[in-house]
Amino acid sequence: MTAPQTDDVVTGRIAAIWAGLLDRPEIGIDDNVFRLGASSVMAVRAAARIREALDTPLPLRDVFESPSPAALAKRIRASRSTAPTASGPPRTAPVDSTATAPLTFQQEPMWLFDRMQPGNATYTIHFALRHEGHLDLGVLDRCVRDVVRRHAVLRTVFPSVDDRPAQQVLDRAHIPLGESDLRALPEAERPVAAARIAAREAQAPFDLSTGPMLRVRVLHLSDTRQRLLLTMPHIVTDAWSDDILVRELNHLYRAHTDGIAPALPPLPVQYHDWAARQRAELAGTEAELLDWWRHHLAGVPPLLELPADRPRAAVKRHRGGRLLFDIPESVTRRLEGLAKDEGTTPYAVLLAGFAALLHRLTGQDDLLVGSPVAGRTHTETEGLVGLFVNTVAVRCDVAGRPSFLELVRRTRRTVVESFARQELPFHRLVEELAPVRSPAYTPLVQVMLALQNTPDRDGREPGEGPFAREESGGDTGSAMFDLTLFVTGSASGMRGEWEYDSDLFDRERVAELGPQLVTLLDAALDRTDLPVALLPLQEPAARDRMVQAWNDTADVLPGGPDADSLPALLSAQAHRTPDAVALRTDDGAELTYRQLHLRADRLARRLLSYGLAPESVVAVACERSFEMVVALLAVLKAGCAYLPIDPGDPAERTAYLLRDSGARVLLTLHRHTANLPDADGTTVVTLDEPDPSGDMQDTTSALPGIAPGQLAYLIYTSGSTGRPKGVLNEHGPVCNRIRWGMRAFPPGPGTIVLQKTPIHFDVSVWEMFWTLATGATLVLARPDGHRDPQYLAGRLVEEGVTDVHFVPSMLAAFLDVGALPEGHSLRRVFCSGEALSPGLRDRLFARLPHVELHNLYGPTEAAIEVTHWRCRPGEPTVPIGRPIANARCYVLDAELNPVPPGVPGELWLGGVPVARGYHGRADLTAERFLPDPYGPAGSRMYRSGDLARWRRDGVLEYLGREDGQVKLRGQRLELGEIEATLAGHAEVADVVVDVRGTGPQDRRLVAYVRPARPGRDEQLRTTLRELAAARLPAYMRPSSYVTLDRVPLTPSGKTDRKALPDPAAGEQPRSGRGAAPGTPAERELAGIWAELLGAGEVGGDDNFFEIGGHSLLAARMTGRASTAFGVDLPVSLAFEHPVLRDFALAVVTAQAATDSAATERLLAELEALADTELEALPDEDGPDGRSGE
Amino acid sequence: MLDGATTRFLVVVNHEGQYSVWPEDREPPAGWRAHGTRGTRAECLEVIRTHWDDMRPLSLRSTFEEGGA
Repeated sequence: MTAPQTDDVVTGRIAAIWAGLLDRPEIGIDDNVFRLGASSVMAVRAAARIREALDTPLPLRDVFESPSPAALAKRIRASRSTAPTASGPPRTAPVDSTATAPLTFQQEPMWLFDRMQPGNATYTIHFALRHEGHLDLGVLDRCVRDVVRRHAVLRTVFPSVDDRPAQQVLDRAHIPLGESDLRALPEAERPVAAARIAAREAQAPFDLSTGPMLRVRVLHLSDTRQRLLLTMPHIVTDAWSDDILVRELNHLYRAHTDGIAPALPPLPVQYHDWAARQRAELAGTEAELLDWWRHHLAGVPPLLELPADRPRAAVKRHRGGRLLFDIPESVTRRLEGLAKDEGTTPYAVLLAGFAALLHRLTGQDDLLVGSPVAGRTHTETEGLVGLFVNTVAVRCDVAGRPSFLELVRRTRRTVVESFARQELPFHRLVEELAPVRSPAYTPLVQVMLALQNTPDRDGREPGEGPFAREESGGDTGSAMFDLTLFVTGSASGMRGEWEYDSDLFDRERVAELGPQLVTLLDAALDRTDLPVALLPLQEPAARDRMVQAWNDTADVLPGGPDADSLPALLSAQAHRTPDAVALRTDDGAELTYRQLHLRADRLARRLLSYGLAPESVVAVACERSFEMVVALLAVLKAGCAYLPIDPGDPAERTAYLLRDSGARVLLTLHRHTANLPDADGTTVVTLDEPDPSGDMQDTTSALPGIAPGQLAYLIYTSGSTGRPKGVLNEHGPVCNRIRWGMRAFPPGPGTIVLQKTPIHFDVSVWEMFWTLATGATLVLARPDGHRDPQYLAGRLVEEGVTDVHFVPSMLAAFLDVGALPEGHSLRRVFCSGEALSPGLRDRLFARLPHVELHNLYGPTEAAIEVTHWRCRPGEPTVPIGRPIANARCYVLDAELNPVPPGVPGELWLGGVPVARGYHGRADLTAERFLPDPYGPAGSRMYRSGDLARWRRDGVLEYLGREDGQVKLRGQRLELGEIEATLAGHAEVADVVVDVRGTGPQDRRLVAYVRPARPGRDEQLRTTLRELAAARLPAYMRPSSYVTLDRVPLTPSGKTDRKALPDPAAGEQPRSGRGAAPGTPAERELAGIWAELLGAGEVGGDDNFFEIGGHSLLAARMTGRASTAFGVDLPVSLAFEHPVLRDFALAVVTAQAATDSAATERLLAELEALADTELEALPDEDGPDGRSGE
Repeated sequence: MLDGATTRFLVVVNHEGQYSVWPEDREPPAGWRAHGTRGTRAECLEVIRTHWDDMRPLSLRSTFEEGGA
């Protein structure tokens, strides 16, 4: 140990070491070295030198945390007085050079990766050197041999002994020197050929167990220009090492050419010496380091999911590409200026900008960015080739809307703290924090930022020629991480290079990242006080293209100048084609356009006779029938707004809708009246009973004119607070949608549209009124027919239907049921209401190749649908398309800024389609309908709550919901509404409703209930089932009830939906009631039910819909039963006979009827056949013509 | 930030007498003027709930009045 040194001496030595590294004659003892331009690499080197010079154990973090010589000296003195012993870290001593050594922690993951994916070039390091003039290959060969002799790691192999890795240094290794001569090629072709050869070099595998560990190839580009390609596996090198190699090759080549002895500094140790010591050295500090890291990284999300072009594959293939971009000098200069002002490194400022970009692209405000550090913490390793580089996971905190300056300061702090603990190998951290790895992504860190700060940039002059680094070498075609940003200094600012996972990202997407980062940094450095959330990512022109050019939808539509009210639009058509068939029902009854309008006019006058004012609400509770269409049309003609009501809804819900809407009149049919509530103040008109005013009624007075801004209908949607809310839709927006449809889907001769959507869904509006505005015929499906795919298929064929709408899950059920017979007339299928999958789309095209498939999107709050896409088979996704005429779409972030193409954001809808608001809910209206900053002055935009992104060609893709709203079989519902309904029961302490099950047809609602009093779970489940049946429409009733002792919570105190259990057997809808199935038919059906419903046992008294069945499952169930029993069973059979025993009986009856009919038909046919023909029948067929039965 | 717990808003109104809210730290878009109230979103929405009792656009209201409906 050296004699005690005075503070002044210590301070002076520290200052001198820093001055040397900073390339200054001297620095002040109170100077902050980071303000003077010190980099983090320099800090590591300073620590090593100070440690050595003062012979004192100096933790790296002291250097970062005490950035002036005086402060550091003080700290060293303080730690000396408290440290029990001041013995320095064990010096790395050379060990026997032929011995085997363990792998270093850095090498272990490389070796493991190679074992799992042998020959994969992900961890191959490849770079190129250029040479001009005469290249002496003999001298070059000698230089390579010298280098390999000097650095033992280049003649090391990695055999595995008992499947455990080791490194073994060989006495000699043969390094092949390859040559490719391109001089014979035409000059223009040489660059391409050179790139091809470089790629081949870069991608050729290495055998780690046998070597060699270095490949050198000379490309002769011309007589005086050569390129040297050097390729190594990462396990023996890193970026710092590459610079050593270049420097030494230059030195050796010059020396050998000049005939003088090379003078490279001796290497006190070799890489395997360090490998042997690494674990021992780490042993003393590892526990403390791990503790700190574990604490520091607690709660960080395991994955930073950048917006990608393809979904992440189950296994990462590490395929990659590289792309260069420039960071202009003006940005670089200000970036370095800010770093100095803030006493931090350019790396920290750059990282703050990069984190800001990642935050803006992902919405994640807590993220990890990996930073490579040189890992040469001892001076004697500074001259070694070998893998020392380590990864530090820097946690970036962008929470709470920080300004850029605040983010830089946060980043500075976390960089200092984390770099100070960089001695812990990343591999150890991963083993500790992420023991369970996903093969889909790299552990902990998926994104890296590397500022190339090797010694050459730290002031040491690069060796003078003859070899110089080429800017970008051959592409290894691989990427270690999802995304890495390499930044190096260049004469005109900085140069960035992306290495990206090409399985995830398209080149076009990555090409946008550079300009985005530069735009963001440029603005941030201009106004460091601005919140990061408000910084631009795009040039104004690119932003304008999204909000203006892609929304340039203003258009004049067909229908005439006065066609912006439904009565005007529809009457005009009735005048053109009075005798055409407007409506047809199942039993062949028809109404012409004239008859329809006459009946509607008569009813409109009757409504007006009740004293209804414009916009009065008239409820319509009718199942599908002539009366239903007449009623809707009449309400519109009277200038009133219709409120559709499902006559099957619980009376309590209907009463709420009538009360909330203030409906003055209720139009209904006699058969519904029993299920309707007594509503005070609402006049009930039964349409299928004679009008008491009869012939007295005025039949000539003019009906009122309708303003475009007047209300047309009021449709209630699920509300998260437990109260459904009525959406107010006006004639103008609705007519806009219908008139757009008239142009986009012009009716051809004999257009026949199937009306099957219940009128409380707004798709019904265009089904009916688009048809009736064009002179086509509307075929009304029978009241329950929309749930029965088999029935629908039959109607399509019998009626020659040309146009039909399906919610995708119903389309799936429809395609399941069977093929449409030849000769159908189907021309167009429309889908909306939920996401349409590419698989379902392709199934439709496979089945019906000549049909057009149109995907539409829109909420009730924006006049039915606002975007449209014509589907084509085989496309990777099904977009929702582009905005329709006079509609505007914006994909915005939480600050209402447009997000760049490819980045998810919330979809906002503007333009003509926007609804007036929610009836009687001014506050809710103001919350969801905001000023449109991108539209015409004073206009509004609606916040859809849907996530979407723009494609780069101006087409929208739907990505799901942002909140608790759920689409179940096309029906929009708020889980909160169901929860609020169930929570109203006194026995319920807490309730959560969630959707369970995979696949569109298996998804079902599950209620999780914490009872107020324990012990009566079964009874409570029954009570809640009854409560739901009384209050909620059928599609909102949970199919299972699970009781819980407590509701699981996330660390932030929210309900942890992921932790909710799947319903256990006992909590599944109760099944197994009544005697076990007895007859063969019952047993067969019980098996089908049990399989479809996932129920354990099905009893004879079980009701299909009470044990988890729903309408789509009913369709599948009857489909399967049809196949099993060889009969066509309508879905309605399941609704008519929901109990197993009854259903079995109905099936057997149907079978018998079919069989007897078939037998009779066959007998008749047989009789009609001549004897000779009978003899010619093949013997092997049975008498009924079916074989194998 | 639109949904931030501490974000403050303005009550704004347009030429049709339609109300909405807008973040306080930026100018209301063209065609919208501040109504005078500012506060949390909940406070602003409560003011709107009590003020905006006729949701019909002004132009429609005047059509009805002219037409005598």
